[in-house]
Amino acid sequence: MISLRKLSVLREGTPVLNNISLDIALGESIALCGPSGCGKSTLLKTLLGGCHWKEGEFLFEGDKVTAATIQKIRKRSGYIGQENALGGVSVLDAIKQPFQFAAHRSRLFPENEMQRLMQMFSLSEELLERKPSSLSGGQQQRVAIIRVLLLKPDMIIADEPTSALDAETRDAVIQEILATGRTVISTSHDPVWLSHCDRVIFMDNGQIMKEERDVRYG
Amino acid sequence: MSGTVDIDLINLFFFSVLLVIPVIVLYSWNLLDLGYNAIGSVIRMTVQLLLVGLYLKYLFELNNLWLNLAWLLVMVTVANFSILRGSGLAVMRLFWVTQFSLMLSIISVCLLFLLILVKPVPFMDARYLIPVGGMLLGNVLQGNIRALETFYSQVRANEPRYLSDLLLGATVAEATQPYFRKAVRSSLTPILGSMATLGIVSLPGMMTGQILGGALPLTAAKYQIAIMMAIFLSMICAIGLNLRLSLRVAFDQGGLLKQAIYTRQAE
Repeated sequence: MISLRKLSVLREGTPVLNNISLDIALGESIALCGPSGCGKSTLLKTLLGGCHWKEGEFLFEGDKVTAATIQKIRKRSGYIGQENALGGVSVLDAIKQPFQFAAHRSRLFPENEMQRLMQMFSLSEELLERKPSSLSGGQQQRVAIIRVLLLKPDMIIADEPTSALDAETRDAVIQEILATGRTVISTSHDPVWLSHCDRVIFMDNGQIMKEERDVRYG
Repeated sequence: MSGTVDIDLINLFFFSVLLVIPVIVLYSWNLLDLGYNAIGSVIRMTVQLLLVGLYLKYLFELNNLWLNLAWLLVMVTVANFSILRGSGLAVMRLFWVTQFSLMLSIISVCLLFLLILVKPVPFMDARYLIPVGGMLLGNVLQGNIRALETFYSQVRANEPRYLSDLLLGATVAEATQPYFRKAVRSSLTPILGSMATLGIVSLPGMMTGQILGGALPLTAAKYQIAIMMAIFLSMICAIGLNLRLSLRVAFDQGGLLKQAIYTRQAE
C-alpha cells in the first residue's frame, strides 16, 4: 500500500528523518517505537503530507506521492494526533466537523455508530453538549478516536492513541482499531498495543534501527 | 468653491504653539520620548497634509481621469505597504494579493457611490473621487490590518488543530474556516460599533467637513450615511478577497503553512 524509499525530512537544515525505507502492506498494523524526539511523529505526519520530505520517494498504491496528490491519501485516512486538536463549540460539533469537509460531505453521519462507540469507550451522551476544551485529556483522546472511526477510513494513522486511557478503554480501542483488518500505522509505548500490532519498528535519531514481528510484551 | 472660512497660516502657526503644553506635561510625567514622538508626528502630518493640499489643488484644476486614477493607485499602494507591515506579514510575498483586493474593492465601491448617489459631471470628478476613495481606503486599511493579523496569528497559534483537520481531508479553506470567521468578526466589530453610535457619541468627519464647508446638515447627514455604507461594503469586500486570495500564497500545495510569510517570531 505504502512504500518509502530513502526518505529524508529536514527541519531547519537538520535531518529529523534520515534515509527511511519502509513498505507497508494493505491491512497491516505497524507500531513505531523509540525515544522521544527520534522522529516517530514526524514519520506519521509525513505519511499524510504533514511534513515536507526533501529526498527520497514516497509511493501510495504504486503511484508517486507529491504535495499535489497527497489529498488522495488524506481522503482515505484517519489521523489521530497527540495534541489536543478538537475544535467547535461542542463535542458533537467536533465529531461531526469532518463530515462537513468536501472530502467526506457525501457520507451520512452515522448517529447510531457514534452512540455505540461512545458507550464502548465509556463516554456519557451528556458530554456531547460540552465544550471540547472542558474535557479531560483521556476524554479528548477518546473523542478524537471516535471522530476518526466514524469516517471508516481505509488507513488509520495514530500518534500514541492509548497514552491517556485506562486499561478497559484501551482494550476497547484496540478492538475497534487493530482488530478490524484495516491498515494501521501508529506510534506507541504501550506494551499491550504493541503486542497487537503485526510489526514493531524501532527508531532512533531519525532512522529505523530494527523491526520485530509478532511481538509479545508484558 | 465653498463657503469655508480659510485659516490664516500665521494663525495656524500660533495655534500649533499650544502643543508646547502637552510636551511639557509629558516631560513632567517622565514621558519625554512620547513628547519627542508627538513633535515628530505633528511635523510629519503638517508637511504631508500641506503637500497633499497643494497637490490636490492642481489635481482638482486639471481634473484628468488618468491622473485621478493614478493618484488613487498611489494611495492604494501606500495603504498596501501599511497593511502588510502592520499585520507582521512579508510584504514581498503578499503584495499583489493585497493590491488586487484593495484596488478591486475600493474602485468598484467608489464607482458605485458616484454612479448611484452623487452622479458628478464629469463622472470621475477629482473633487469626489479622491476624497471618497481616501475615506474608504483609510477605513479599509485598519480593517485589513486587523483581519490579516488576527487570521495568521490564529492559524499559527492553533497549528495542531489546523494540521489535524487538514490531515483528516479538509482543504486549506475548510481547515482555516474558524480563523477566517474570527478575523472577519474582529475586523468588522469596530465599524459596526461606530455605526451604531454615530451622531450621538460623535459627529463624524465627513459630516463635520461638509457642515464647515457650508452644506445643509441634512445633506451632510445623507452623505455620511452613504459613506458609512460604502466603507462597510468596501471593507467586507477587501477583507474577504484578501484573506481568501492570501491562502494561495501563504500555504503550499499540500496545505502546509509557509513560515516565511511571517516577519515576526511566534510568541
